[in-house]
Amino acid sequence: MRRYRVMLGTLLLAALSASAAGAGGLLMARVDLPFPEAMAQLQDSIVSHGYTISRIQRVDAGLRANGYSTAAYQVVFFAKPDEMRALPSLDPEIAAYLPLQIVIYAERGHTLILAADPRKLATFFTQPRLHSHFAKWAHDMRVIFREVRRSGQ
Amino acid sequence: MKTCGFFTLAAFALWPWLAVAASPNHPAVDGARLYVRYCAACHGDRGLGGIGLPLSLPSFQASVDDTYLRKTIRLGRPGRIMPAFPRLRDNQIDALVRYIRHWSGNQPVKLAAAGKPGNAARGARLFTGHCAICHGKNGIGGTGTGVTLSRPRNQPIMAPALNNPGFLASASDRLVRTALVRGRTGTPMRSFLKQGLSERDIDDLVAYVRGLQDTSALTSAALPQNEGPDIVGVSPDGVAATVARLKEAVEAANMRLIRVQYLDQGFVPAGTENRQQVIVYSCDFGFLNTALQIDPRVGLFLPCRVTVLQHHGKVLVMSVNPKRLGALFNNAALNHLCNQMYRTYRNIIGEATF
Repeated sequence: MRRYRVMLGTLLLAALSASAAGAGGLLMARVDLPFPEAMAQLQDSIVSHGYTISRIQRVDAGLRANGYSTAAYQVVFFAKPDEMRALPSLDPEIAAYLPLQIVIYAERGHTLILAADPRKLATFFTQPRLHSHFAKWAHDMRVIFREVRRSGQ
Repeated sequence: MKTCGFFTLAAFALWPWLAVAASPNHPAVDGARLYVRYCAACHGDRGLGGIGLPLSLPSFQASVDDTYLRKTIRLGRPGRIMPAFPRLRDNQIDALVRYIRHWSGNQPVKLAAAGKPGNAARGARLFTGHCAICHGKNGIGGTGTGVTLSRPRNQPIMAPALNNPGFLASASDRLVRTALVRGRTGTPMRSFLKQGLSERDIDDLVAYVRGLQDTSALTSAALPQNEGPDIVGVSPDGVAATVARLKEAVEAANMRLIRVQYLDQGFVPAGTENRQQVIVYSCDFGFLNTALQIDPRVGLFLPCRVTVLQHHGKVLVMSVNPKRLGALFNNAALNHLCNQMYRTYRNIIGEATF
């Protein structure tokens, strides 16, 4: 059964790659909401898909504390606890890319959300058992981005 | 149950792909939907610009033809953020162009009349005197990322890279001539006829621009396949001693130590974390501020982190490889920063594993 799941994961990645139509290695969405509301929607959506948010890195606060001006700019770290435990044993180098992260920042009255497309990790890591995770993350992130975007419409 | 969920997920993900493949004639495509999916994040919902150019700007709409828009979408701008879309079908690109055109009420575009063959050498001298101040030496383009207000900007748009292979393949001589003759209201680009240049000068400038080449932009956009995903060192010490050395190495590199935590901290109950897996977070805020002004998307690198992890009896010290990750941004202006980050990580990991 595991073999079929790996095969299906690979097929799923290929399908997602085809549907992404060469949009590059980044996922981006513009949200027609002020930053605080978009951030709240983003966190709700991440959690609703079964992920745990471990930390929010306030890059803007760090920049301001060091004398630089900036609009709101933060990074949300999240993952599934079982994946955090299991994946480094499949390939320890994946640990450098964990937890997952979504960047969120203000631009005029809008908010932008941004992530590296997890499908790209399949070109970084060849361990087939990781690929079904990449496909799932890619799917979930697309849904999360769509949900957050639609919350502003 | 998990397997069932996985198959359901696969079915949903594959459905649109299979549906399109099964259809002998692709259904009519929705330009607005495609725009939201592929363009709005950078160019704005209403084409007002952001990281990308303001596509709805009337003077832009009036001075570029549909061929330019189609080729630009297809080819992108290698190394200048705008990605290529090689997998979009022609009818999808046509739908996108129609949608972009709705901001001008689908007014027909009339480019300036074709000029005469110009003298590129003379055009080069004119370019240095009149154009290079914005478009850069040899037409390398302005710096920055458009009109985003996340950071201070001194121009409403960045001057296009005229030597970019995507631009040169998309823009006809008449299109370049149109920009020179009319300028673009709402941008720093002024009519050079009104500034005193002659028709012959314009023709010479067009000849010069047509002759620009820049292969470095192409290579900068290519994913460096010879680079691994991580920078990795193997420590001769245990995890705790390695982390202690790593903290010293971070501070020696003039980085601000932000925090040290277990990899699974925040995901498992406090006290049950795997103590053989540790992340050390740090930041050089001056470097970060510079990087954000070049490209506000670099938050994906943030904060700098080095992971220490015991695996099969070895203590590995690793970070992401900025050269590999940087290629995702299609922004050649980030290359030197990625190289600098690469060297910093290499030095830190080298010190921690010496």
